[in-house]
Amino acid sequence: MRRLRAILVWSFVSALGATSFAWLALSRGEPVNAAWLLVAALCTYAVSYRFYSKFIATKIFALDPARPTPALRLNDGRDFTPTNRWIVFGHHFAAIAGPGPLVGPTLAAQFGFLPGALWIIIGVALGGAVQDFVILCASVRRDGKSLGQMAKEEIGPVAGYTALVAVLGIMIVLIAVLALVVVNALKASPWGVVTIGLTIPTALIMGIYMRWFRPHRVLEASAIGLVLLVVALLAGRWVAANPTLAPTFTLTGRTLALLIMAYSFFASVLPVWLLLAPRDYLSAFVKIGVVLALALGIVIVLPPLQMPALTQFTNGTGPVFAGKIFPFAFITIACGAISGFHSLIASGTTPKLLANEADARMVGYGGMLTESLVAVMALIAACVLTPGVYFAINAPASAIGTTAASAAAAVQHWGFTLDPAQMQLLAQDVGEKTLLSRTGGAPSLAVGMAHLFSRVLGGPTAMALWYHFAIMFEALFILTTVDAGTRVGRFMLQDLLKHVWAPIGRVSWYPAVVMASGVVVAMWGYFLYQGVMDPLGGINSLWPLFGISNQLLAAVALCVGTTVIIKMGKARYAWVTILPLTWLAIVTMTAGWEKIFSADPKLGFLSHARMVGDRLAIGALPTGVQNLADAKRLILNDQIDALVAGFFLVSVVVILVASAHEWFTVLSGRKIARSTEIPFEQTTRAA
Amino acid sequence: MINYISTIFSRTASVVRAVLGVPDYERYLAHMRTAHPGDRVMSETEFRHTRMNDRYNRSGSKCC
Repeated sequence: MRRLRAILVWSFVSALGATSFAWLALSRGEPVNAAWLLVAALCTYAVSYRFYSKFIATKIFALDPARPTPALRLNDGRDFTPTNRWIVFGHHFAAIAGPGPLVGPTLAAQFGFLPGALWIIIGVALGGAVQDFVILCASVRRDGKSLGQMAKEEIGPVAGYTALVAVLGIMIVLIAVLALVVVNALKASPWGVVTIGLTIPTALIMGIYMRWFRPHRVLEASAIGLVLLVVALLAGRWVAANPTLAPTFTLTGRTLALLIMAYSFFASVLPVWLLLAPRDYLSAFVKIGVVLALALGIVIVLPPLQMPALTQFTNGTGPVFAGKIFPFAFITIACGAISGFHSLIASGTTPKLLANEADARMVGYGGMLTESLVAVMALIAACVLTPGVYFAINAPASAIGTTAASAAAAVQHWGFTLDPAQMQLLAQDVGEKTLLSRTGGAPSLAVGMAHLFSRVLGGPTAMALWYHFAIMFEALFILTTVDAGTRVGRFMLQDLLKHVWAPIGRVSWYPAVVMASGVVVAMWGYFLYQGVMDPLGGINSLWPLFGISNQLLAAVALCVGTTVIIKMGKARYAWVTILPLTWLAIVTMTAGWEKIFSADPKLGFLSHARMVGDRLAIGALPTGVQNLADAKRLILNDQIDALVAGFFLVSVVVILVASAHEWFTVLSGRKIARSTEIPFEQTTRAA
Repeated sequence: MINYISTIFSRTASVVRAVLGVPDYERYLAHMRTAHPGDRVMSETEFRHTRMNDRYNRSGSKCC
């Protein structure tokens, strides 16, 4: 009877999901309600969690609640501590969910809502969640070893070192592109600058409070911090309305870039308790709060999706970023579908906390499904805007000009409608001078969120507050990734350089700390600055680089996963990781190749450099470039970007070849399949 | 009633702290008492600082 009921329930869930997908895919011309997208996502998650993750848990890893986890065996009251599974889930989710799943889907909306939605929902079920889950299981069975260690031990030293250097490279590109998103959101916005600027003293106050006034009272300090954030939001509004102060805080992209670099340098050098830790707590609260609010807003409003299912930009002529739907939809959305960075967390803190290895299914697979849901909600928030407004915000000035009238003309030319007066009014409503060409995804997401939130609470008059609240939230937790990333990058660099000169490795030797921090900031600062100066808007070239690098890391993780599965003697199930790995290899190689070698100067780095060179040769300057020096720098930037993309591609090939070699030696019997898992001894449990 | 509310409150607070990843000194003390009685125990400030430094000095604690 119970069995029958289960069959009925799951048949219903599957049918409901399939109907929703059909409705999304087949409706043409009329706006579809966001509810269909939400239902399609939730049904797919439920079915894939119930069946696919169970298949992986039982058939491949044979997760056994009786098998003691590292947290139990190595309990040290510090790193290794058995923890309730819901707490591990929350902790893991807070660690994996960053700005990525918000920005990527927003940018990919240029293809229409359908490609992004399908990739997020199907990609997570068969790719992203599988990767997180498999790596978490592999790490739990190996005393919580990191991805780098596992790559070295399972595949070989070449793959291990390639992964190590690649992680540093990815980190640099990631920080640069995220910082660029913040710069574009704060450019010429005194309200945003003041609000975000005030979050720094807020964190300092919290840090000092926890250090000297009420030691270790994290929640009290966070409550104070949250109140101060509201004050910062209102102070920003006051400054923006003040005619003498507003111009002082109206900053250019260049100034903002330098300020963010300086801030990150200090965050990396100063003690963690003063700045980094309090900011992190604050941003975790805001993050979870906003995600819940967004979910609530969407469920209450159930907005129609104004964006069509597919736009004509699937052919590669889109203004937001260049490239056709294949492979660039799959590069633009990494986080939310599959994100290689998660493998660092699934092999970092999380495996050391699990009290029961069977919980890995809920934490690893379930945690990633939750992030995917965040990505779906971001996609919805971007698609509640009319296509005209969406493209006016997200297209660079080189595509739509600098006035509302020119933007309206460009949008009309693409087949959408935009009323210039309405665009002005919208900017006024959200308390900004202009919303044209605010590329990077954050502003359009904030407009979408303000649109949703103000319909639930406050009405049209609250639009400006909600908009800046959304910008504050995005900037706050992007900057948390930027500063924490700079610090981690500094440690990774010190760790690498100590092989050259030992004293550089000393983590508390001030000259080494300052030097390494400076180098890391300079590295990502270079890409950030180039993005700010880029007449095409920077996001256009940097976001795909970030996507490629993130997918590269996912490929590394899936290679490690496949090797682990084969060595366990479960080669017949290795398709579980080989399937997403194959797809990612095809996608990254194609995208990387096109970014380097495409003949279209909008897409290919080298052909763009050639185009600028040709222009200079006939004595002309490319559009949007002021002088000869800038044009020459543009060429150099293109060459460096091509080099970085090339490095990522070579890394993919090296790791794939090394892994394939290892698989064949094991499968052909030349090497005995010996699992490096810590063996299961029942006695340790009793002891 | 007041007792009940304050228990709920302190339980919620400890769950929130755990999710945020705030170092848990009580648990460390308990662990040291049972597993390594007689060993030197870090002071609360020392414990929290080493834990915090550890957290922000390695990759795998933050994502994109």
